[in-house]
Amino acid sequence: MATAELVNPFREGLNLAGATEPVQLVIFGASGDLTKRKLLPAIYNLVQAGLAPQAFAVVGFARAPMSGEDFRGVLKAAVAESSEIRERDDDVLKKLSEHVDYVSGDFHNPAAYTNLKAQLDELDKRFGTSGNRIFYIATPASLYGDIAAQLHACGLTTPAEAGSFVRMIVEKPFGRDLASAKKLNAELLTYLREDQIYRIDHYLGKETVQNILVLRFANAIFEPIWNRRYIDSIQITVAESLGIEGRGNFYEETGVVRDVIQNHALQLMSLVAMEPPTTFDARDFRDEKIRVVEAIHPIESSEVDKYAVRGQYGPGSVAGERVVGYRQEPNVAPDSITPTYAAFRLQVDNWRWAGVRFYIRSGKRLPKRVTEIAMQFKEAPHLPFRKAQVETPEGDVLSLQIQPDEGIVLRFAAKVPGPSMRIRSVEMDFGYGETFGSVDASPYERLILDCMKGDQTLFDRADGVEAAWALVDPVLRAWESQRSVAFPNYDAGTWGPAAADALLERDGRKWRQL
Amino acid sequence: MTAAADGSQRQMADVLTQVAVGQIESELHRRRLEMLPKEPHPHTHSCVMTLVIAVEDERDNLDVFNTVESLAGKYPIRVVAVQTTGQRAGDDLAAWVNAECEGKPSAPICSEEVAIQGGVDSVDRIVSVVRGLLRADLPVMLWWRGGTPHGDGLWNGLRPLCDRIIVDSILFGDGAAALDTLRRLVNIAGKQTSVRDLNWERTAPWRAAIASCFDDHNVLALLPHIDRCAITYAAGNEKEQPSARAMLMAGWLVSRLPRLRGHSRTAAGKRWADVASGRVVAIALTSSSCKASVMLVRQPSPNGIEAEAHGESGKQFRRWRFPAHTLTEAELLDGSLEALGSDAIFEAALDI
Repeated sequence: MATAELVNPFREGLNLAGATEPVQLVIFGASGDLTKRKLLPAIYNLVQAGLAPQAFAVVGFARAPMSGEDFRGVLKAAVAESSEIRERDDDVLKKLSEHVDYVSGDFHNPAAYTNLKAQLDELDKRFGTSGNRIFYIATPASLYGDIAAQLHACGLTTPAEAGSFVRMIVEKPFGRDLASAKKLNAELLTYLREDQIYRIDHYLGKETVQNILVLRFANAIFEPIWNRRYIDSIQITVAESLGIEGRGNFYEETGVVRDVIQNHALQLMSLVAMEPPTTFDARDFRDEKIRVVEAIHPIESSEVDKYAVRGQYGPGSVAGERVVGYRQEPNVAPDSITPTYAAFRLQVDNWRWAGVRFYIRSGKRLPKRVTEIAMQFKEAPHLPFRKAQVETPEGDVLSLQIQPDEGIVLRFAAKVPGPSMRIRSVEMDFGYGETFGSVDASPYERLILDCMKGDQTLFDRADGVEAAWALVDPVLRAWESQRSVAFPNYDAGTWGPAAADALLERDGRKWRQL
Repeated sequence: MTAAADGSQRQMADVLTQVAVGQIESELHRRRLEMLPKEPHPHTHSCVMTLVIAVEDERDNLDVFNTVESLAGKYPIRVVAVQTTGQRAGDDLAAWVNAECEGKPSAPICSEEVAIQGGVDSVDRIVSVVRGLLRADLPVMLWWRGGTPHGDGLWNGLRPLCDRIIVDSILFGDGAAALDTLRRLVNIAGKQTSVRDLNWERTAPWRAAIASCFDDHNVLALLPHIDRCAITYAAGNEKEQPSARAMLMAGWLVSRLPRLRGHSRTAAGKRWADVASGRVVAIALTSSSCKASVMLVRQPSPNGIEAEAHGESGKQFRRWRFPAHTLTEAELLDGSLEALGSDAIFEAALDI
């Protein structure tokens, strides 16, 4: 019998512990910041929690000349310094270190890949990793295509043994516009099948983001009101109090639309607006998610000002600290027109959402770090209380809080105790932390584990990435062609430019006070 | 166990306050109000379940207390521990309460503990108090910490209130008797109530190790040859009856690989004198047609399971060492509370 047809009968019903096949995880860009800050701590946590397979190896690959011992030192430092480590255990670190190695080489040099392959084959024999390989590409996007081509040329994109697998995780940003995303997809799909490609957006690995799906699709009470009949509008806020943290070169090339709106914010919108998938498997789930992005009313180049607002922060104070303006940040052009804030007014052209406005805003140097989705419900059609006794209640709001305080808040009207009929808004508050303890598994842990298990549900698909770029592309083009913009147009520590307020005021609405 | 501020372990008397039985709910309410100014989210009163604990033997009270203390800070739960004792007259009842929050200041996890002790004639009174203390609309777990429950009055009163029954078959006698009790529990519980066994949870490291061995597709390729299994358990002498754990392991292997039915055996391992009686110490999965095998053996300090895979010729080609520390009662209970629904794999393992 071919092994590919055999299923491990002992795996069913066990906890997640060890529920993954033996595997080698190869990190391209292993000397970079992402590897140290996020990937190595996530890998350590997986091993510490017993979620990584017994037969496991981690191989770093980068240009930086470094020995295996040096890279193990990077791992040790990452575990010592990261705030994401749940439990530091020297035995776990020692065991993991024994399974960690490093290969130095130029990403464009075929010999480096031959060297890498020899090393992976040797580790296969040493650790019994069965030829299963995951390549985590944590490099600039411009290298993705070349890395895939080089891996293919030396035979690393095809399984090493019968029944083994090869998968590739690629980091965002996936392209910088629609054309480059299409080109990148085409390049990767030349060497790999779509089911081998895992486009990561760490937002989807957050527990509270996944809880949006549970809230919607595991509770019968919400579905009947989750539509245009009861919902007036939806506000999605992804606010950062931080600036660009010394990443001027990166941010000048990126800006808030590429950094947040095109991916994180649209992911959140698609989870809130999607139709219920038949199953939670990768195909059904991603089909529905992409369908709703494709149903967002396109923004024509001539109408950008009607649907979108851009901003850039000037000097100001955030949480009592004076901060410089964007143009005064290191490696930022003094006349930069890169937006650090954007607000969009969108609508979904389908039966469920016709007429419901989706307002999205994201920015740097806003008053606080907060990510939330707020469903503003329509007002009661008739208030039977005599007007003189009523404090006009604000409309009901269901707020899905993603960070920093993960939870769900329902705001509704209640009677203030006393002889008169006074109505006040009150909040019913579900806190993840108070109910389930700490929500401290990093999204990278979850997503790396999913990739080990071959589950693509929480990863982007080629057509999904392209649909998101197609939506924001006209806005990016219009903004990049109009260089005469009055930047900075909001002070650091405020909620963005006045034009963003006007965007909602035109519809008779206002941004939530967060 | 929660440590007191001076680093010492907390004692029951330090934590629980005696109250009149009729005042339990109001006292808990009073304590919650007392905590309000101390908590950053005073309006939150999360609760995910009621855990009812029936403690058969008074000598176990401290252990149970310590187990519950270990869970505090993990779940916002209401714990109701009950016991009948000859130390109390007739249907006399006494109650103690505690309510407190642990965890991060920004997200405290608040729990309530209630202890009720009654005389041997107080069963109906105890059950009526428990009924009134169940948190509305939330799952009710019954941890029966004692021997075979069938025929016990407290059991008969509490069982219908519960969505899940948690037992420890290590307290049910030898393997055959224990499995018989477990089967009866599952049958009586029906589809509405799930049954969990802490002793089954103790086999988890062995089951995980076996599953991990066969995750390797080269080992998985041997599976069609595997048609025999032998489970060795620690015993003082060769005539000692098979332990419940060994029989649960055998049941699980047979349920996962039906061709092992009739070809599985359990055997006492005398050379494991230093290991607590009844623990699984070795498992051999072998072939009657070739020399293919997967052999797992318990290793001491640090506790672990060493495994080897041998090909059709008998040549060893894989070797692993799996960590397998001895799980505490709190960890076992935690695992039983965390898993949702009934455990079909466990129930299938009883069919041996």
